[in-house]
Amino acid sequence: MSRNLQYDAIIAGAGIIGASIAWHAARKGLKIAIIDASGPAAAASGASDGAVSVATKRPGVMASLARASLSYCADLAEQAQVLNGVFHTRPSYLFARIDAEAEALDRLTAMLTDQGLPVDVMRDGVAEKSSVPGLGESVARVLELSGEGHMLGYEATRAFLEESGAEGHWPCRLDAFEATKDGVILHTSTGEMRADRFVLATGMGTTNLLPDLPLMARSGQLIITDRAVGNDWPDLPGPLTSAAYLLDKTAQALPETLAPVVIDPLATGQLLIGSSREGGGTEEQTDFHMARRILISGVASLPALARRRVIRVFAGVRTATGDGFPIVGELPDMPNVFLATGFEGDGIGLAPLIGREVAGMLTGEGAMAEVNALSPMRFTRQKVASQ
Amino acid sequence: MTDRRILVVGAGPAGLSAAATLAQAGQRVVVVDQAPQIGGTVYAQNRTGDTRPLSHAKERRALFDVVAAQRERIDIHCSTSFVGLDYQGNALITGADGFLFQPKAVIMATGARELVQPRPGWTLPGVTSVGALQVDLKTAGRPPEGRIAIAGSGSLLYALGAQLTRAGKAPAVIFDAAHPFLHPLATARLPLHILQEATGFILTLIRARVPILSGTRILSVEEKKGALSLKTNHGGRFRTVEVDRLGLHDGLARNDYGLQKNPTIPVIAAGDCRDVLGRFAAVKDGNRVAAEILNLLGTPAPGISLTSLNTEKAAQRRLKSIFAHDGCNDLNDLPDETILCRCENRSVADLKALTATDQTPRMLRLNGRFGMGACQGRFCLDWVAKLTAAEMGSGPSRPQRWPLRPVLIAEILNAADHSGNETHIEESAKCTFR
Repeated sequence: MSRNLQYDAIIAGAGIIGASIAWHAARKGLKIAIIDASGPAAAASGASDGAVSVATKRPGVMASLARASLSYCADLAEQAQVLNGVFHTRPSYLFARIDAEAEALDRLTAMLTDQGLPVDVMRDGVAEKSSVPGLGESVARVLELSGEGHMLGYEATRAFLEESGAEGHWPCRLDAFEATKDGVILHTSTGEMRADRFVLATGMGTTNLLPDLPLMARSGQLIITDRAVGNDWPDLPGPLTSAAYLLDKTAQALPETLAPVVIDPLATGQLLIGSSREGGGTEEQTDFHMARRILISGVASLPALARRRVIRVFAGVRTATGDGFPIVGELPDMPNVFLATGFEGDGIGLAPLIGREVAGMLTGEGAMAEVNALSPMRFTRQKVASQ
Repeated sequence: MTDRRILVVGAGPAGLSAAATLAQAGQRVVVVDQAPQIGGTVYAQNRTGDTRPLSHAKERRALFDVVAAQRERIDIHCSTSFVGLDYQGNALITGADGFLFQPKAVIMATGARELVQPRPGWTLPGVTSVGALQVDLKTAGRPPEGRIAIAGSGSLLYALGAQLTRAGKAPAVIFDAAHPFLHPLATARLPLHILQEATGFILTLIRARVPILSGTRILSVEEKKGALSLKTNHGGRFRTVEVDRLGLHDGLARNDYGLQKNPTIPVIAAGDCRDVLGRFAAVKDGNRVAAEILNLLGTPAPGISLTSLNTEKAAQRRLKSIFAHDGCNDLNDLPDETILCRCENRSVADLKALTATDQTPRMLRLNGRFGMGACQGRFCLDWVAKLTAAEMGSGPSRPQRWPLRPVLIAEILNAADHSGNETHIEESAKCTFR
């Protein structure tokens, strides 16, 4: 049976970004369909930590977007709102073992004050005085923050999808699309679909349709443990993150023994331990050597970790871009086709804000300046300039 | 040091015969088994000094002798777990002397997976699988205390019943969901060795006057005054029986857990792990898979006749028809409070409460939490798949990734690195956590 349906907008990709766009656009009265080759949260949204963090973002546009999204998340988490019960704020702990890490913490505290971020320093000092018990001897300093958020990607995806009332189609593979002056025609595995506007929120899948985009997979090993049994586990109310993680984001070389690590307590009582940043990869590509490096670093920071059991290991695959910034906006040579991809691990935290802004683009209301700065136009201009 | 020996996981009939065949062809082999001794479930031996003759002693001896003749090339590690393979083909082994290495090939010979269908009360203390009761009996050398009921379907009910009787502890009752005694024609066509063994079991049970109630299913189990109260259904007639222990068994299935696809090295299943054909076929299948590996490695392999494998296959098909019953269809009638996933304590009601958005294999795991606990779906996903298949087209998928069993972080770090990709951190980590 071939379908020939007319929507105001079709969104390809039922991850957290696509789901948020669908919810925001449906609220503006648009008739929306959302399609996915496999189903909701099938890629990075279902294989990631749930950090909605400002502190781990690079200063500038990304920190500014993260700040805006964090306060917007808090609005959406209020009583009777879509993210109520899904988004929470919680304390978070960053620690330093070597001077380079301590300097990263100094830069972070300066940024938190300068940019007026909604995150407060509760305590900053030597590990012995920290409120996290049981830290390893190598931990020299702990910075305790309040106001950072937590939201599991798949829970937010479900909340947005269910509240949107959008038509969900999966499994439905997008084989090709044509941008015409009367709208966009999609050729899918379940038939033809038509819409006035079309959004690609397909993460790494975008490369199948637009091979020229500078997108690359960057995977990270994620390790899930069992629940703690007995009283030998220190109470950890929020994620414990090595400052090496901040250094890693700006691609500074680190000694092997100081692998970036985050130990994140899940609501289930299990722990999520992450994460590396490797080129390429699929979810199946788990790596003993990389996992051991993360665990060595983790056990050195929190020795009680050695007594927990690993129950599951997978690689989360982030979609990165050539210049490190997401790609959000209308394609220059394809009217009515919009992109929202390349968030490289920031997608969970930014999804609420990006959804709101892309919905504004779909209705013609436009978007905030920081989001307009992420337009795919920047790659076209580069191409022109280099010719 | 770079270790490239062939890894055989499981030291039962299939694993040991595969290892012996590989060693005879000049290959060096590492065999790991999580049990403290070789032999697998079928040849498990009691550890308490009981000197009574073992069942299957002759076959056991023959198998062990073949392995002993190749001891120079076969390195056996008991009380050792195979954690899994990573995508580069590294294998992690943990236990007293765990290590990380890169085998040339892996043979998975971990035996069959025992199926236990969820019923109300199946997770109560005192309720175990028939296979677990059998291993306890073989290794502890004495039967458990109290009145024992055995229920479900399959030949293992009668094997355990007879073994308990011979150990001086006849079961109080056997409930068989099928009608195995109504198939005399199929039974008569079973191979002699199976028929002889089965007759032995039944005679033992009859002599001990063990009640065998066929066509009877356990509807629910409740704890009452420290005992287990079983509600049974025999063609619409309901009864309540009180016992102290209950062994449940709903058949055996191939064990595709841990059979990780790997782009760099061959990984092949052998024995009951590949196809449940029993211990006679497992020895033959071990030879066959070893020859297949040798061919893949480009080394001369012995020719293996498949006649006996095919005979066992036909026999198992007949056994399946003899023990066929419709018990699984009743899954849809399970009361809401029935636990499906015991690790995460997820019930039928939790499954029914999932929304339209959750009806994909992925979301059933993520939002439903089915198969997300310590066993990673080993025990629940078959049943969750059966209950959801109607809506989803397919059941929740099992990820084939390490670890195959929960593994201590300290053990992951303490494993010596023989992968040829060593990093100096491993040594310092060992000093700290050992």
